[in-house]
Amino acid sequence: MILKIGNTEPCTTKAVGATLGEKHIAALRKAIADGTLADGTLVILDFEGIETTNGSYLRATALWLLRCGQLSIRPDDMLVGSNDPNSLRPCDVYCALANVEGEVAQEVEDFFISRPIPILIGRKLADDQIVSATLTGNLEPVLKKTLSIVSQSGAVSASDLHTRFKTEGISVTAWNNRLADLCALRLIRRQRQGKQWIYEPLTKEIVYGRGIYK
Amino acid sequence: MRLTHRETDEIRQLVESREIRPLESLQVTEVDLYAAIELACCQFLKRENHKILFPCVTQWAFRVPMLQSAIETIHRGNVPLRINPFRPRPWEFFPITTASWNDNDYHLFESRFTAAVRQAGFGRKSTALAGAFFEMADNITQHSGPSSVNPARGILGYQVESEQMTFGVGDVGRGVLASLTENPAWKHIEESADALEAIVKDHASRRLGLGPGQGFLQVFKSLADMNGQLIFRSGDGLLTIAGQPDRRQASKGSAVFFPGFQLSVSCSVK
Repeated sequence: MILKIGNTEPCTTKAVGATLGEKHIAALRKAIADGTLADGTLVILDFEGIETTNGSYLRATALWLLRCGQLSIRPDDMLVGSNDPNSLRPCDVYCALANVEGEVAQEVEDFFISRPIPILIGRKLADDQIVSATLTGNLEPVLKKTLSIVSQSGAVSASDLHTRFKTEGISVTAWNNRLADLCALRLIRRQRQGKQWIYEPLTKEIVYGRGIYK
Repeated sequence: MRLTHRETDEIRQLVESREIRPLESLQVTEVDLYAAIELACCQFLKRENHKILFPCVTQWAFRVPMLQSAIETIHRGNVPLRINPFRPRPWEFFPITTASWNDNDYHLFESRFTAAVRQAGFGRKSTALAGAFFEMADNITQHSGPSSVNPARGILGYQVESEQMTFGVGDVGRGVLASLTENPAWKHIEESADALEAIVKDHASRRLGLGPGQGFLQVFKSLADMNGQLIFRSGDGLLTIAGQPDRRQASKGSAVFFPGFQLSVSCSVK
């Protein structure tokens, strides 16, 4: 699902402030509260035509969606159950950004670099999905390596990776933890097949940094 | 007499102790932006004590155009049609009456503020200051009421002189203590001054699970390398921050109770 921020009411070129952010994703928030958003939905916030943004806006939109997604994997009773319509709700939702350039790119980088949750920024999109992306924010080297493997190989399980990288001496449990961490960070999807989880990438290609060599 | 946040605290004390005569004898000739906003906020209050203050403030406003303008803005609840809507002004006010205040009138108000600040010598910093001003205004919508759909009434204002600017925001909502302690992580805070310190210095937020609040981060970012004075007052708490960027001094104290949250941010080019 691509949400073109510039065309969403109230239309603006300045995506700033928590209140505006809440309005821009009001329909999504309602669908999440009502439980009508399809599991595994990837929401791409498209900043095309947006000249500026700020931390409050990103916190009320992208971070809010990512945290709802995280809670679907790692529930935290302390964070849910409030009557406030803006409180977090567990939901298997993913979030990425697109058309993030100039001043907006700087704000996005400043916002995500200071917190333990990175975000994908689509470089190339097709059919509401991301073909190629950059990653903004911090990701542990071990998780970064695992993410690259999943992006290149497609659907995998922890035991697949254990078999493929046997010489590295990483146990199935360790692979499983890494994959679950990436899923909790909303960087890969997962589906249960029988007794095991199968993990899939959100994008086939991830470029680190600003991708100046691509 | 010029009224600042110090004098308004004393005025609140006189109101609380119902000392009408000293209030009536005050010869107010000037107010700073913070005082104008706080005195305008009094107009929202229905408490018996504040009825004492209404006639005095109205009287002072006859002699002080900025106070008159703030009170008119509060009473009118909308921005009057203006000739030359893009022309920067030395000071003006804007009312917040609903959650949808961020409309075309506000955009014009913001562009006049930005132009006035730029002309005062702040150059490109004017855009960052406008962003910080907006964030403080949006805080009224976000936090003054139990939900962002029903914010308390409020007022925004700015004053610009050569190489100096002040913006201020005031509301008569529930105040920062009630708002912040909705978050269990800050439930232990019992004093308004501590709540002010937590939101301003530690970027505490009532929103659960979303990390630090962004509004005050943006304010300090916009002030980056400038001297500044920041005044925050809520409930019976007061927090002032002043000085050069790397040596800003914070001072926390108590004040005579007044509802809501009022603040002003002043800075100079040099």
